[in-house]
Amino acid sequence: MSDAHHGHVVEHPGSKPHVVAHHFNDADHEFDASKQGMWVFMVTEVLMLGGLFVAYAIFRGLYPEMFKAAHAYLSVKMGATNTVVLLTSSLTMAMAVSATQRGERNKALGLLAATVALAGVFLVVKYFEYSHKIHSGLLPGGLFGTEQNAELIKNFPKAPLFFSLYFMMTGIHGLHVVIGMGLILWIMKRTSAKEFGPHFYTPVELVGFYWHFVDLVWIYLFPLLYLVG
Amino acid sequence: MAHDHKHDDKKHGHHHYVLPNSLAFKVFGALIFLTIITVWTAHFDFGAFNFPLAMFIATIKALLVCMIFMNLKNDVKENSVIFFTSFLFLAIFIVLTGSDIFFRGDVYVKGPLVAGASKSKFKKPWVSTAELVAHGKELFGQQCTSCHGAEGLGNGPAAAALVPPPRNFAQNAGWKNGYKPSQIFKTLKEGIKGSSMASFATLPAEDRWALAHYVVSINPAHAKDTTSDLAAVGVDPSKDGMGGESSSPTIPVSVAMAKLAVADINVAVASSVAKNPDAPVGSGAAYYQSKCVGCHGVSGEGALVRNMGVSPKAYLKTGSLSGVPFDRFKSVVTKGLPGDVMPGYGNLSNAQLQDLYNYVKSAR
Amino acid sequence: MGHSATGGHNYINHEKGLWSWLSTLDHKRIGLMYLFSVLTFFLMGGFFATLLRIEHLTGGQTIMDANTYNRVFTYHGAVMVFLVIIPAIPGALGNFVLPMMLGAKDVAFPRLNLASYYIFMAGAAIALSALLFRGADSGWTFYTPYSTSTNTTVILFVLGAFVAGFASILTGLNFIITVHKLRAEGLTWSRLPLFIWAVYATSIVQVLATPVLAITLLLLIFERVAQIGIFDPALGGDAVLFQHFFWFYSHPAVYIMILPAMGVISELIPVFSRKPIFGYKAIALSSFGIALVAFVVWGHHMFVSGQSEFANFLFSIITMLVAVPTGVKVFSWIGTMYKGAIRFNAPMLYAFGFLEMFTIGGLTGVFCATLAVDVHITDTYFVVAHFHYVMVGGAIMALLGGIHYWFPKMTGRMYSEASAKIAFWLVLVGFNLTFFPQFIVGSQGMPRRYWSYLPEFTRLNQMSTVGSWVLALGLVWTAVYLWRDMRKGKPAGDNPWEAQTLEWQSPSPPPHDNFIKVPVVTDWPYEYRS
Repeated sequence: MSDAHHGHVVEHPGSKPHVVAHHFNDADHEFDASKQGMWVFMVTEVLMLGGLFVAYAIFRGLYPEMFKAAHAYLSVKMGATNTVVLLTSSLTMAMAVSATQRGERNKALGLLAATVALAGVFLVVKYFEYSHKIHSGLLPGGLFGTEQNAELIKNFPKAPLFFSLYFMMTGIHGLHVVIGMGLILWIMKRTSAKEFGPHFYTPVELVGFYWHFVDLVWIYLFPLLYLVG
Repeated sequence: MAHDHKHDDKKHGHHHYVLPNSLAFKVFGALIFLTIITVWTAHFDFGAFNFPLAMFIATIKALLVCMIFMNLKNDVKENSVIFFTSFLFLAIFIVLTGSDIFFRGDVYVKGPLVAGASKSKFKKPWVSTAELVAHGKELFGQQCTSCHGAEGLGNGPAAAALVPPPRNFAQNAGWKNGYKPSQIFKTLKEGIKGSSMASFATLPAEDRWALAHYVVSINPAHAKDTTSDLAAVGVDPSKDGMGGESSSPTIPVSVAMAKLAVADINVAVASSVAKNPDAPVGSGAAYYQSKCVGCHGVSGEGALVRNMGVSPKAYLKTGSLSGVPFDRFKSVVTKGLPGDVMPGYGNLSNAQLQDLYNYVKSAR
Repeated sequence: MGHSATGGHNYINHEKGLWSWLSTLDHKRIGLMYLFSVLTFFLMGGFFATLLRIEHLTGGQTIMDANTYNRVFTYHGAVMVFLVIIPAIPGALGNFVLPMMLGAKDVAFPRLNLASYYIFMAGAAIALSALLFRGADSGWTFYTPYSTSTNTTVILFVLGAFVAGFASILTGLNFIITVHKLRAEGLTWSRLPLFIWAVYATSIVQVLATPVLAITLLLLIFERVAQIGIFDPALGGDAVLFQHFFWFYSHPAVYIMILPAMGVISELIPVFSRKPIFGYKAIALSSFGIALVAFVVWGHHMFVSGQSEFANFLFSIITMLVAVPTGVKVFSWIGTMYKGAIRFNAPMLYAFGFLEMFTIGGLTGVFCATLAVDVHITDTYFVVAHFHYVMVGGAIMALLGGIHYWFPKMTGRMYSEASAKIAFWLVLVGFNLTFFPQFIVGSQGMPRRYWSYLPEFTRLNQMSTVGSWVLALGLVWTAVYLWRDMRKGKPAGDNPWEAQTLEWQSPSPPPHDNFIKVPVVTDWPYEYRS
């Protein structure tokens, strides 16, 4: 221990040194603890979003025909586009992390910027989807436009429920995308301040985890909402 | 683990795994390929396998992201255990919730309401049979005679007080929804707005069909249903079924709550009558308790008939009739409200009316 | 005394001023901030409880009308559950003790720890702000359809519980990583103190269950503001589904409340019996048994909700399993005391109180788990008495025991033993007088949450009300002498109980970094010779 109240310092040429928190033995110890903390955090995410998947499973089990009919009102083209966009952003994120690990700061910044841009594209596509739904009255529960969609409602009076689930699931996922964008921008700022490098990249890696998790959720949402067979 | 990290201070991070770009691109290619496969297979109908197939592909994609992009493959086992545990508990959540939702035999709550329907005694209840008509006659005796009369001639004991009067089933003219069985079935389900005919949607569908067939049997001149008539009430004559109800019948929350209120109010009525045994016969209080309490309730909350789709005015609850002059009160009580459930009570003297008016005005 | 080694420096005088407390990253200070906040909320919840009992002095209206009563029992329940018992032992005692027991300098993520505290306080502020508007009258369970149709400000209460939930999640996360990564050299899993095992199991439950509360309350809020209809039958949803969502969290939450209490008791009993703990492994693993079973029994809250009979049957059977790990613990504690040289200090008295009260609570729980019996006693005062025996007789007794036990470590001063004994007997007698009559009126059919009751229940209700005054007196007296002794008590010494866990091997109060010399562990902490 270098001193009773401060942990020791790790350095890399051309970067700011990182001070390890006083209660950890060394930088690896701190890194492993932080990473495991992130995994536990993702467990909480799985169970929180899981609640919506449970509701989905229950109602799809109760009204399979309704789900089939209602899902036809979603655009597979837009959903598939967004899937590709998010998968690509996962790739750029993963590469941004490894670039930071190798000390290639400018490359990392470029890849992070690309990730944010792709997230933006995702939200724009989502915006078009949402505005189309709102325009045609395909809204949750009590807000559903029964007159505009008389045919659907006549055959499947419970169809608004599908759109409740659609909006809750994609809405909360969308909120995660927005938060993720904020986190990546924060990481970019700290990267340009030369805080990260091969000696210390914990926040980059953890934000990467978060971003991959957002992607992971969409991997399930896409077939569940857009491709009900 | 804490004890694994007794390395030299200078050596940090060098042994950390760095994802090679070539592998990242390979994984990305696989993910895109699997996305195309998912969309492509969605065009084919594999029946029961559609869903498992889509979930299987999604899970492969998810595992690729976890194992390679999030590097769980080279991470300590502990982290895999932590992460995958969450899915175990999610599975518990789904399975045990399903053990309720998908296994509702509904003996306690809906049981009495749908006992007949769930046993499905009648396969095609829209086809009239002697058995159905007999069942309908029995139900008619329980549910309908107080207004429509024992023979269905619209002359039951309550008929005189109702505006418009209850239908005489022997006549052919003036049927609001028509007199085919499917049309009577519709009336039984929905009631008739602006009259005292309430919705009997809480009766099982086949009981309503039985009633419809019995009513038709009173005047055999009534026409038969065509396929399109039946389709209008949601019946596909080629299939057996519930007879116009697509899923197992449920009762709306508002009806359930009103039914609870009815149970409460019956107790309350009894206790209120017991509490005021000294109320002089013919007084306003006594009259209220004998005639008005049934609908307007002991404290004027009017719960009893709420499940018929009407809300009697809560005069006692709101405290007074201050906005209502005596003349108007008199006219409503003696003549009733046309098109509403409030019947007329023409046989009251002026003094009795005044007394009742004062009671309702003062009581709280 | 060890004070010479630190030159009188400790975590209390390490920095000065209110701001140094509000912005501290020191787990000990955060623990104390939790303790003061939680005890304040406890007094608030207790005040509501006293009002409820005074209302029940007579069958009709005593001091409030029925609508006020509905609000007050909602506040009592919500405050006690979300703002007192859930954060009490992990947030307050856990924060103070857990890193020290591990021989660590702090929790793994100190900034997150402080953030949890503020998130908790923000949640509390949001929830309690509902009182400034129309309050909430749905009960702490927020059942639909009532909670979506009442015109009270349920949304604020729900939002407060939603926010406070994140504090619970983050504390759990922090403790899990702390236990995994920050154990002192030589402190292997088989040498971990049982309090750590219990809090660790609790943390796992917090992390797995609380997120579901978050989504449930979020759906409830959207149900109110956007009519999404997931819990509304009129829109195709299912009102009972809300209960599944709610209890998937709230049943495990019951174990979030009781598991740490069991951990405290597991520490108290060997220390004051001067004997090695009996069945160390069994107690440690039974904490996990309880944590696991916690997730598969929630449906026993819903036996009369219209849940399928198949589910009723499953949940009833599985619920019986809870008795197994719980019984293992109780018998191990008794086994530890057997032939021990028991010291009857206040913490040990509370441990005795816990053992008896909790066992009554637990055994009456078996009645409630039995399907056919439960149909009769659901929503009666029998259930009220049952869970108060577990929550007050169990969790609160253990909290009081823990506070007295660690009081010398936290403050460096000793509480007055005589005052504490008076308080213990007031609490024990008051508690039983309050809640035992409720078993009787409940089994005779007096429903819970009713403003009024039938004349034949008058005498027992009055007994219960008088009991609540005795209980309140005991608790207020405790607050008074602890406040006094915190500043004027006799210096306690570093290890007044001659305990062997690591926190007692440091000065009282401990220095900022917890230990003068980072400890190395060579044995388990229960090697007592009587």
